[in-house]
Amino acid sequence: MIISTAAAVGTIDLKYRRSAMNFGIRGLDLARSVLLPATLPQVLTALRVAVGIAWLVVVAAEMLGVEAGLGYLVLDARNGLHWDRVEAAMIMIGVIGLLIDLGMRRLERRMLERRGFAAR
Amino acid sequence: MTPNLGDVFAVPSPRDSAKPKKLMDSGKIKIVVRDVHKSFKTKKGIVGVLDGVNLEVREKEFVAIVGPSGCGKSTLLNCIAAFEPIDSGAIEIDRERVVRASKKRVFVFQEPGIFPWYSVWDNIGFGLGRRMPFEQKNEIVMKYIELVGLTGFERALPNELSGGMKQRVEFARALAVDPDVLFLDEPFGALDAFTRLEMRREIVRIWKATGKTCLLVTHDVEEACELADRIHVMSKRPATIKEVVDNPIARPRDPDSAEFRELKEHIFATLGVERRV
Repeated sequence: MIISTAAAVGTIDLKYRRSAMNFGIRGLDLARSVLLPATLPQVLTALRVAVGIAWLVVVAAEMLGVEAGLGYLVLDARNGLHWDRVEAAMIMIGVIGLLIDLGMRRLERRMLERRGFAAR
Repeated sequence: MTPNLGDVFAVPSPRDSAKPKKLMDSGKIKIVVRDVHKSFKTKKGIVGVLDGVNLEVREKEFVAIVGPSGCGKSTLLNCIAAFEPIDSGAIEIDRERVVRASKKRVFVFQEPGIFPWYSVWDNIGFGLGRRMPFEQKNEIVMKYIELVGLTGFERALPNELSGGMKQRVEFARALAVDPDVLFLDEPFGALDAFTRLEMRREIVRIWKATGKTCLLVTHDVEEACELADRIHVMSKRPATIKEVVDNPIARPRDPDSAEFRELKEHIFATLGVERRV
């Protein structure tokens, strides 16, 4: 996320930066009023990817050393040869991941629309 | 041809025009550009863009720079606005060397540089700073919204506006900080023909009403003739000022009048452009 945000700041349209420069906007004001809003689309996309990865990491972590959660359920069911439960857990992992992504996407779109980006 | 037009059209030799022209009437000198050189490094080597440009602009004057596309006229304006450094020479505004961009001289971009994430109101108020009390800010912003005829669109976002309206917001944002100088970099380039006409009339009205010094860069000779008091004609890259042409035509100017056409012809001839298609 940090990497993509930094890259996004580097690609801000020159005219926006020059406008800010022209009106003497610098430092924290510049970050708040120009850098952050201008990079919002990229930052939000990066956030969506990051949350997706986080979900996978959570599930994977549940397979190690804990005794709860979907990851644990997959391992536990497999050890007990309950294939139906393994399948159910796998589907659940997928569905929850999908729902998270859907929610993020909706949030992204709403924020962008309110911020004047024609993302529809 | 009337005698005074003959004087205006007397073509100085290239050697003469390289030096700053002696100023004819009074009026304080606002902007001085002296022997400015500028080049860019590219993969193919160093490309000279400005090759000893001289320019003077008086206070409250409307000056245009015309030249073929890619000749470095935008670069010159960017240098005067201190967006880009120069290699050698000097640029002075109010007798002070230009080091950094300032609110006292505002740039109007070809593509509106207004922020798409801010409403019309917030955009116009942008240059006033966040610390200004709301009442005061609102008064100024509403004044300029009215000036550019956008009353009722205060809360609209830029992508809800047409191109001409965006350009008006850009003008209002520039005027709101009450600058001495307006830099206009082909400000009507992105507009359709109708809106462009309307905006030209508008800018003359605003210029007359506010008394700003305006420096316009354009490739449109007719636009330069309509708007400017003096027109600097640039050569191809690496660019110098080929000639400075005074525009004696009284406003409002009729682009179909004989003197207007003559002025235009003269500039096209200086540029070395064949006009017939």
